[in-house]
Amino acid sequence: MSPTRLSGDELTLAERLVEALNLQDLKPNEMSPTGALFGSHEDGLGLDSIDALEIALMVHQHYGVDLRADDEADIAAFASIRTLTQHVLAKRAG
Amino acid sequence: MSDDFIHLPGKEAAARTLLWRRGQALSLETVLAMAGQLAQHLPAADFALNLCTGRLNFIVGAVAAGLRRQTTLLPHSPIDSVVTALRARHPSHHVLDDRCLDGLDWPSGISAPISLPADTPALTLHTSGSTGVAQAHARSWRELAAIGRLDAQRLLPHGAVNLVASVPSQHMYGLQTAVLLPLFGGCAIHDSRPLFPADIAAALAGLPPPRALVTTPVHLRACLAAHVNLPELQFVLCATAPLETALAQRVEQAWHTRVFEILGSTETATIGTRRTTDGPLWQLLPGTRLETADSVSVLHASHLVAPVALADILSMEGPGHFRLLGRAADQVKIAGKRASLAELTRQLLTIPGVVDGVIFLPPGAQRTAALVVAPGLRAAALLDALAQRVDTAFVPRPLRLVHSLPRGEVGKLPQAALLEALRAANSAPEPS
Repeated sequence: MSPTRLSGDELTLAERLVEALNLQDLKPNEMSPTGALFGSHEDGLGLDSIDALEIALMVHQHYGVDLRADDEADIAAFASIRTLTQHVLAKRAG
Repeated sequence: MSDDFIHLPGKEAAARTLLWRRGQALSLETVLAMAGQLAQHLPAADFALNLCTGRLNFIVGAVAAGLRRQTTLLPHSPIDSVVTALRARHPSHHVLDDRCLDGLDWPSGISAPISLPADTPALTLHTSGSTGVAQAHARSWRELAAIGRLDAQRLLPHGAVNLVASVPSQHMYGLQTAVLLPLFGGCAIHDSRPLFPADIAAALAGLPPPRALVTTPVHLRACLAAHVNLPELQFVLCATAPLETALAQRVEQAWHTRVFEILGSTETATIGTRRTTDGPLWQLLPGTRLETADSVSVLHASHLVAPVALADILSMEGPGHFRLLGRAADQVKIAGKRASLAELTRQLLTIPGVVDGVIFLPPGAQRTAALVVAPGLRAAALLDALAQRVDTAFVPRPLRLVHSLPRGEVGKLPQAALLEALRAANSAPEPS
């Protein structure tokens, strides 16, 4: 997988993220697949815990997957678009 | 009755359930015995910084610190910079986190009743508002017990319930509901602090009836949208932001329950309550009185050591009832925290390179917005600089770079002009 380019599935998730979180500045196809979602605005998207709730909701609505904040694997998936996409698709399939 | 101590258990049965953890019921006397044990192991210090997210850890830690006559400090946010600043302000401290019960033996046998000093600072909450410098609000055990009992009187007319709360113990709303209602109001609290709808559903499913959910509008909206299946709830309690009647109605219909709201603050605890779908009138707690003059409302209450001026403007309507007229014009409340827009703007203007700027709240928006004149700077850098100056809840989304602000004749920024400038900036490329 390319470190800089989003796969098709990752782009789809990125588009849904931008819509769900009201991130008007961002063009989904220019987002980094491996950049941090949380934390600073320079290094990542600067998201906070209210955003985490919106992400979980978006994942439920679009992928039918329920994320749990007390599940270590679910929480680790929030690191980047790539990890979130992989985790959500795996849960949907499994 | 003047007694220098607050006693636990009070008049109730010591064997009653205080907490639910991993499907197990823990009694009040068990938790008090754990606190007694932990107290013996605490380091000597003036302050205990309580960062516990688990409810058992938090309550045992807070009571243990009280037994050692240590004041518990509660940071307004768990992020490193806030905790570090609080530690620096109180050199004589130790930290209690979710490992604080590791290695303790679960006590067997019945513990003696405990006594906590009634009138010394027991728990100190903090608010940051818009300045980023934490303001301390100390509460004694006498005040905390009074708050718990008053809240229970109003919220639990049918007796104690098993609670799940989705808010942190370190914030006043979470402290009142997840800590004081259990300790002084007869309730039992679930150990977790669920975030996602699936977590909330799982926690509630793990409790026997009667059950109630303590949460916020953000969580309610998410749970409805996720179509979670919840077990029967005696009621839902909501606070931290105004709850729209339409949302309350949807919750009542979807979950066959009643939705109540608390209007409160760190300074006052509960100001009043209402059943949202009943209408716009709120009910003061017994023993409280409101005086409003010159658009400032002052609350007088037996559980407060001194009257408190409110950030909200209230008007009395009949004995014990009031209407919420609005917030003092400059104030915003996001994620349960309050700030002054003027102060947020002032912080923005301290960022090097910012020539002009304004932070405001578009009507109906969940977050603040900003228009900034800062040639050569990027929005991301400005947002990070702001995040170091103000609470993250108030960091604007969006922050738009513009050539100039729409200032009127005397330099004012009318709301309509701001909204139009924001709309234009949202649909245009950034100035280079």
